[in-house]
This record gives sequence, structure tokens and C-alpha cells, in this order.
Amino acid sequence: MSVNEHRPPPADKKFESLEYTDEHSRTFVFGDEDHTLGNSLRHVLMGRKETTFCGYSVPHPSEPKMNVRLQTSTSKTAVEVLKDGLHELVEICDLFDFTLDSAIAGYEAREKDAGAESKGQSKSV
Amino acid sequence: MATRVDSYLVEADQLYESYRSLSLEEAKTVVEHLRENLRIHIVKLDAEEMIFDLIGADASLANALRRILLAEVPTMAIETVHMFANSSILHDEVLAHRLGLIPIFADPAQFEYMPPGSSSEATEHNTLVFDMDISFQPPKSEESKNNNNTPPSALNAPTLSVFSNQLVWRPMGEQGVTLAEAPPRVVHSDILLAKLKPGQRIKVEGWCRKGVGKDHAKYSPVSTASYRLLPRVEIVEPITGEEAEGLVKLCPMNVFDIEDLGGRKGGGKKAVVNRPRDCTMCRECIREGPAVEKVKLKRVADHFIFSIESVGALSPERILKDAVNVLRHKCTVLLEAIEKEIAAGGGGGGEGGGR
Repeated sequence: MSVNEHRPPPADKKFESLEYTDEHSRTFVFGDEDHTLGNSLRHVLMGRKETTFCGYSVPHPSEPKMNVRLQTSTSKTAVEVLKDGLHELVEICDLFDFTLDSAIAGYEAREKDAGAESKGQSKSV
Repeated sequence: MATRVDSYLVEADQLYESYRSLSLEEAKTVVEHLRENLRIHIVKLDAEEMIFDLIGADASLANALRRILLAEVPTMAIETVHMFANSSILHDEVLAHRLGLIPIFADPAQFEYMPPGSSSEATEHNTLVFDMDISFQPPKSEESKNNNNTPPSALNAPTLSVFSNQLVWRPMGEQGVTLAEAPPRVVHSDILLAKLKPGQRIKVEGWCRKGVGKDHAKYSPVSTASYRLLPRVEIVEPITGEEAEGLVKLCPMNVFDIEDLGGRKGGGKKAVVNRPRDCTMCRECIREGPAVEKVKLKRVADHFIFSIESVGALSPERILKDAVNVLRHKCTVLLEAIEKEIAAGGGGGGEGGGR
């Protein structure tokens, strides 16, 4: 019953698709999402060759909603390309994890070498 | 003296050269481009700070990572404070606010979020309890010095400072066993919480919950996380001789060096850019002086120098890994939601199904 317990309520729906007439041109509404996912998902979707148009917006900063407009060529439906884009973003996360692990291993190897070197030098005096 | 207008960004064409003059079939997806070009190079890594280079990624991905580091990686922090006694000068809510901001050393992965709704119960799986009970007993002074009829002044009274190390974890249920490896404590023991005068008392119970920075900044695992783009200092016309010497002296960050060419025209000295990473874009090199037209300041659009400063509850590399997991989790949750919505025949329209 304190001030802190008043939080903006979560969005009604996690995912919604607005009215459409064509399976290749659709607007999707994501609840509780913002530029974090919006811009990166847009970037990934733009790289897919079936995409003819892709944009995202946050209609109002006070509302936890994010719109993605996706138009595709006739080879795939918009929903399919959207799902492909999300799968690709997951792949990017996996790639990032892998690259990060190798980088940390590389850093630790370098640190160990540097430590061994300085020990070696002090010995040879 | 006309002022120059500089372009700070590398022209996008140079960046995406791989995409030019490619037919649709040859064009690469983002992940394909990343598999070839993504590099991470760690410059510094210790318990408090991590500096690394992220090369080959797009600004949208780097920014998504930064936003998640600040706002969506969970930690534990005091959320509810039960006040049993507070006769200090600080009001209850002020003291509670300060307690909430104290970083708590606990692994958020071992805890669940509180279920939404005001009637959710605090269990050993979602709550940590910290106690603090400080009373400042007035010292029993011998009456010798105080017998000159002057009333005791608050200015002369001793002060007891209450620090964060006075918070003591109270294991609940099985926590004594499950959290024995890394017992919860405060990260920093020297945070000043309140000051007490003789006779004052603070007795509180702080209940910690799992939360994210988006909800309240106290939950942010980083003191800050930021990135900058690697500067690119281009010398478009060779700078030699005395001009070169002058340029090297001008730069406050020693970005330039002199290369000796050995006694040719211009005195054999040429200015080169050896430490672009140190450049702060102060523009001293193009403000005035002989090299004004010969130096261009830009940034490399896909080389991000990240800095992650941890508050101390989690190590910087752990925070980064958690951030990537948060991004992955967002995608998988949405994929599920899409399946459900499509299966339920969601979205109006669909009549005709195409022109």
C-alpha cells in the first residue's frame, strides 16, 4: 500500500496482429516491448530478402506498445517472415554468446602469458 | 575565418560494401554478415569493470544490449521495509528509500519473481530478509563535568553513524542450506545510512525482491553501461615537417606520432595517426593551425567500445551474459505468443486473403 507498489500495469496482450486484407502486408503490435527489441528486430527483418518494407514505432511512450509494420514479397507471408526474423535474432544471441566466450578465454590466456612473462623477466635478473 | 562543418560518421557505403552491387540472391542476412564479421576484443576485465570492443555489429544491436544492461538484467534489492522502531532524525520513508538503494550481494537466478498481484505471498524462494537493530544507549557520564548547570547540548552529544554493514541476513526456511555457498550480504559495508544521537533507535526488517532497472533504478546491476564509437582520424593530405611537429604538440591526447622518412623534402617527418582510440574529439587539431584542412574527424560506425561498470552484486561478464539471455528470452516468449495468437485465428480480416 505504498507509492512504490503503484506500477504501470502490464500490457493487455503480448502479441496482436491488426486488421489486414493481405497476408503479405501486416502490422503487428507487441505489448511490453520498446526500442530494445523494436529496432533490432527491424534491422534483422530488413536483412531478409523476402522483406519489401519494414518499420517499427512506439506509438506513445506512456503506453507499453510497439508496432512493427512488415510487407513481404509473394514468396512468404508476413507472419512467416516475422517468425524467421525472431529465430534469426535468437541465432544472433547464440553467436554473440559464442564470440563472447572465446573473447573471455582469449583475454584470460593473454593475462596468464603476461603474468608468466613478468615472472620470467624478474627471474632472469 | 570560416568554420568547417565536419561529418562525424563514416559514410554508410564504406560500411556495407558487401551489400553493394549484389543481386537479391547474393545479399546476406544480418546473421550471415555477423558470422563473418562479428568480433569481440576484451580490453579490461576485473570484478568491477569490463571494457570491450564489439566490432561488426549494427548500432541497433549494440544499443539493444546497452538498454538491457541498464534496465532489464535482474538483481535483488530491498523492496519492503518493516519498521519496528525508528526514532532517528530520518523519516520512515526516507530511511526505507535509502535501504532500498543498497546493493545486495545475491544471485538473482536463485530467486523467483514475486507473482503479480498484491496478495502474493513472500516465500523463501522469492524473498530475502535482512535485519537491523541499533540502539544508541546514552553513555553513563560521571556527574563531575556536568555539574555546572548548563543543559546538555545536542551539538556536544556523540553521534553514532549507522552503516550498511549493520544489515544482517536472516536465513528463512531452507535458505541457510541452499544459499550457503554465497551467503547474501550487502555489497559495500561502508554505506552511511543514518546518524543516531543518544537514546535513538532503529529496528527494521528489509525484505528483498527480484526486480529490474525498468521498474526501479535500484535494481540496475550496473552503475552505468555505455558505449562510444571508435574515432577515425583521417589525414587526407600528407602533413610533413614543422606542420607535423605542430600537430603532434597540439593534440592533448597524443593521438599523432611522427614518422621519420629520413631527410627528404619536408625535413623527412610525416604525421601519422597511431592512437585513434584515445581521441576525445576535442577538435583541437582542426580548430586552428596548419593542419586544419588536412585532418578529418570521423567515427567508425560499426566499432563499439563498450564499458560496463558493475555495482558489485554481479560480475561484469555475468551481467553481459545475462543481458544476451534476456534478449533471447524476449524473442522466444514472442514466438510462443505468436503461435498462440495465430492458432487462435487472431487478427481481424483475412477475407479474400490477398488481391
